[in-house]
Amino acid sequence: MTQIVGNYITYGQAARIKSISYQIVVWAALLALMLPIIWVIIGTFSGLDALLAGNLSRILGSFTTQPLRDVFFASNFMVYYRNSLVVAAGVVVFTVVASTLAGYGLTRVQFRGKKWLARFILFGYMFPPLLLSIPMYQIWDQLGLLNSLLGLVFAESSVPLPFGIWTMWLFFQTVPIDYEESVWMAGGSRWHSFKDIALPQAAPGMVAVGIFAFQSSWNNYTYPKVLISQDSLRPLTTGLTQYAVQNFVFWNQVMAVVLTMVIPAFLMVYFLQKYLLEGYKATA
Amino acid sequence: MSVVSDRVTALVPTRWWQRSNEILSGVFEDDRRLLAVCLTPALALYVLVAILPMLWAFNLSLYEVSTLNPVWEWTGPGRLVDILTSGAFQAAFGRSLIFGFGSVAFQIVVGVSLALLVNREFKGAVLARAVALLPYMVPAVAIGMVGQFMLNAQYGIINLVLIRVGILNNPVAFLGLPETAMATVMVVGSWKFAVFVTLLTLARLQSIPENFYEGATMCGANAYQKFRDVTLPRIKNVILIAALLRTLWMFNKFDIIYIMTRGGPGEETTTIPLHAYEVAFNQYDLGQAAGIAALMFVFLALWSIVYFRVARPEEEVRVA
Repeated sequence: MTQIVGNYITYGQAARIKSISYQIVVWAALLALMLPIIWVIIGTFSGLDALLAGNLSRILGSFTTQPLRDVFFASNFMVYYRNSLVVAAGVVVFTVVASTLAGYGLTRVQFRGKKWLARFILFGYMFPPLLLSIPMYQIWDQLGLLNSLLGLVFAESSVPLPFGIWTMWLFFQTVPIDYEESVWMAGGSRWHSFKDIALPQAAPGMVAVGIFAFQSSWNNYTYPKVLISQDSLRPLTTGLTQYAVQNFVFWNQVMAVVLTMVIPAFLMVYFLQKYLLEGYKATA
Repeated sequence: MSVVSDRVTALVPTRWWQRSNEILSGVFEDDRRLLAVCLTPALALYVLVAILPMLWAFNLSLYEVSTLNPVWEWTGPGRLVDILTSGAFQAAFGRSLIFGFGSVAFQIVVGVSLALLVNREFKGAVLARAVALLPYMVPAVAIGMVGQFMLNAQYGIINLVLIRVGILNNPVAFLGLPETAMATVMVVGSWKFAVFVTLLTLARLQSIPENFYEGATMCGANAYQKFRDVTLPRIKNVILIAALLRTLWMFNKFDIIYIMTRGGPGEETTTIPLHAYEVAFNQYDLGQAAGIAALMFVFLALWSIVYFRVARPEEEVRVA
């Protein structure tokens, strides 16, 4: 075998060719992964007739912003969007506060049976929403939480809560106790060392838990499907199916709503991916 | 952080602030009180949203309850045996197993390769990673709707392209045919959930020090050897954990299947959660649905024993 590198091209050139071809492979694979999203964007800006005729050149030629305008101004979209945001905010606050406190207490106080408590919490990681939602439907009915956003916040917290407690528990373990001890030496109480030292250090973990809580609530379909039947209280996920009327689906409007769900998701993975990976590092 | 908290502090009168600081200092000083204050919110919430419904399901399964009729009629534990021996339950359980294992096998292959692809540092790596992680953040209901749209027999883009290229002669209703429905739902569902595997694997890959690879290069290892001896031993465990969790989650997946097929054609994609939903909210038989849920919690507990044996996650807890 003749040696190409070194004789015909330099080592530097060879390295560059390697890195460029690697990038081509990566972007080609990602493009394939993104095809559904690209189709969503095309669908959002196409006329319904063209989409239903199934003619590609007609679809691309039928550019219109009508579906977006219909969705924003002539449907319940804004109501669904607001409900989704309110519920997601509630789930984030509940999950982050509860799991941060729990994480601190579990790390700093020693007691027996910790491993069993850990198993008990992790067991909750596996609970399937639909199977919980059937008994919940009855319990919430008794508590007057059916068809209420607060009830939905509680129900949806069941998904990120075990993950949150677990992540914060592991996260506080990485915060050295020495820093807190130095506060105590200076005469500060444990409350002060928690508030001023431990909490700021655990902030990345809290962000990771917050992201997870937000996305699990934002994505949740099962709980609102079972627990919410009033249209004005629907979040986006169950609201989306309202654009299909009796087997007739306004596909361009559906795609427009999907696009409004994809955009915040993309902003999140782009700007907060460091925290996201941080959180999953703790889980595994 | 501090700017925000300072503003919040400024809103509260100083006297109150000092007083609450004093009270909290007192609470935090005592180990037992600290533990009570810290654990109560989390455990109360956990019991309300997870433990109580589970126990409720076990209790409910012993009664005949209908969504239409508020009276509970005692039927006893024989109900659970009836469910276990019923053909509909067994068939749904089998379909759940097929759906669970089938899609997870697919997700592991796709997810791990994707993680390996975007792990390296290059220009635009942040964007590439964001794109790779995006599907996990997109709601399942959105994916289900898009899947339905793209796979439609009359006007779906996938049929159009396949016919144009010449792979198909006639359009295929992927979601409407008994032969293809299950496989199609698996593939569409995996588009999203493969990325969970990517997330876990990528998080682990990012923590492998670069000099391990440099060392291997020095010793003359080629790319495959580097993967086998440096990468694989470090991600093996993560993949196993992801597989265990994902299998269970796919086994109990509701939203994506429900959106795409409603369990059809016929009963072809009616897995356990769809069966339970059907019984509870279409046949109005909450007692039997709770029985199915109760049986699944038993199954879940058995699965979690395997998970705890293999992954030993509780070993991460430091007991000093």
